[in-house]
Amino acid sequence: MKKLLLLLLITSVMLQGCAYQRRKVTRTVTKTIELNFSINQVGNFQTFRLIDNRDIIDLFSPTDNSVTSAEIEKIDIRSVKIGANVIKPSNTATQVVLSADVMSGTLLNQPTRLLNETKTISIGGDGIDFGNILGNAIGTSENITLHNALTILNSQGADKLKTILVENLNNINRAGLSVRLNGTVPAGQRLVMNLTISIEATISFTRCEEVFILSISPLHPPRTIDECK
Amino acid sequence: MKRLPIALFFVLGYGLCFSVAAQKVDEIISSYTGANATGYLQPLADILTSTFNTGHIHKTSIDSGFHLYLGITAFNTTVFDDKSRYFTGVTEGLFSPTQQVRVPTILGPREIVTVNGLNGTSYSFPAGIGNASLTLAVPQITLGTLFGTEFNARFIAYDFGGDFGKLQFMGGGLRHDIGRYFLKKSRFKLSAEYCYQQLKAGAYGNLATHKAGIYAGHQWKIFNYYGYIGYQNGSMNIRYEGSKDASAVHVSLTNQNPLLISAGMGLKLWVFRLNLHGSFIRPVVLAASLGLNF
Repeated sequence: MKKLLLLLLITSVMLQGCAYQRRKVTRTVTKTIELNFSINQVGNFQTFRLIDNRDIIDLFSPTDNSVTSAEIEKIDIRSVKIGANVIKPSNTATQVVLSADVMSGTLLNQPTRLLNETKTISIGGDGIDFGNILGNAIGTSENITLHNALTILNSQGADKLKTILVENLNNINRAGLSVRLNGTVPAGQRLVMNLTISIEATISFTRCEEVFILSISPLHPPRTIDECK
Repeated sequence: MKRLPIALFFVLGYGLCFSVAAQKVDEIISSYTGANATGYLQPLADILTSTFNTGHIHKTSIDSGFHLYLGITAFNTTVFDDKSRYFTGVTEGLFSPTQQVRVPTILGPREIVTVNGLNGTSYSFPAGIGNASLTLAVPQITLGTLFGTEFNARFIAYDFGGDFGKLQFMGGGLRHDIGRYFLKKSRFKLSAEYCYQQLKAGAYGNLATHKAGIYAGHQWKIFNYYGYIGYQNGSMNIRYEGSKDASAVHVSLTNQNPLLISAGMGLKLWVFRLNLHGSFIRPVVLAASLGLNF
């Protein structure tokens, strides 16, 4: 019995080797910003989608909103996809020229071009033929054929998009993000279609996390470390 | 029966030490969802396989009569080599142009590597956790002897609850005194060992390891030492939710360090046995065990 009590005592001492530490941890999270436009217009049009500040934060940190308490290292725009589906028989348009702008909140007078004009888009048969300028289809989303739109991405728009996302995640700017779709349709024709713009964005951030460190070595007992001071 | 509370104390006590570290598992391993996931997570299979395959014995010889050893083995695994800290990542998806670059593994440094692409696009590879050292402990029981063979078992379990679920580690093995057939009166001892171990980490994955090898060394009354050479295999399956909108990601890994070379030494201190053991093929694992030997 004495031996067992001694073992219990030694074990208790060893268990003191748990230390509570605050460490800086860097994480990278990739998310897709999906913008859906339902268009039913005669002639030229402009329509926009607003993603508010809360939705931006929820998108990148859906469980605990911890991104807002983190130091954002950087945001990357990895890719952009665009796709459309013409709604028959309501649609009578035979051609449309599309472009997109990005802006902070509803500041529609301060747009930055995000997607350059796609002049060769033409409507024929069941859908819009993006193939001429954007290459082969890369996938589908809700019956919309998606194309890689990197070739029409505007670098200034990509930078503006990153700035708006960072500002909103840091709560410097709470106005959200708007993307405006611009279309030019031949006179007298009605364009009826659903259009999707998918932007793949990656956020890298560093934050403090609490971890327990175990050590039973008397030479290297765990220390209480706070890297976040 | 009197030993049962002590065993529970080991299990519960060390379980508490692991608890907080497990909370962030999904966020850490879900940094990658594509082909790069294998390279990013591969060091986990190598390190956990080597770690759990270390420190199974507490003395070089196998006692001829009945004996029982009850102890705890603590491991410290340190990553020194760049092969465990970096891998060649490839940009994925629609990012253009495709680029290859040296990036951190999960055990690599806390540095983000970014490459630039077309029209203002960029691609960042996730940082490692920056922790090149792993320390943990498991209780072990060794029982013998039956026809020159002793048996060992390791077990630890803790239910974290929530999304993680239950962490369970168990293993067993046997060691046979092959020196008894031709080294009867020598202090030089030779034994062969086989061990199987399994780790189940909640819903996130599991690891199964096998090892087989030979111990050779000298045994005196108080002091002993030995060397070990063996083969090890570890199969790890990891499952995680890459995105709440996508199906779960499965990654299957096999350890890339099958050769196990190690050495150890031990001391008898009254009824206690203290043993130090080190494995020196990537990664370096140091194990210390302390236990009662009846």
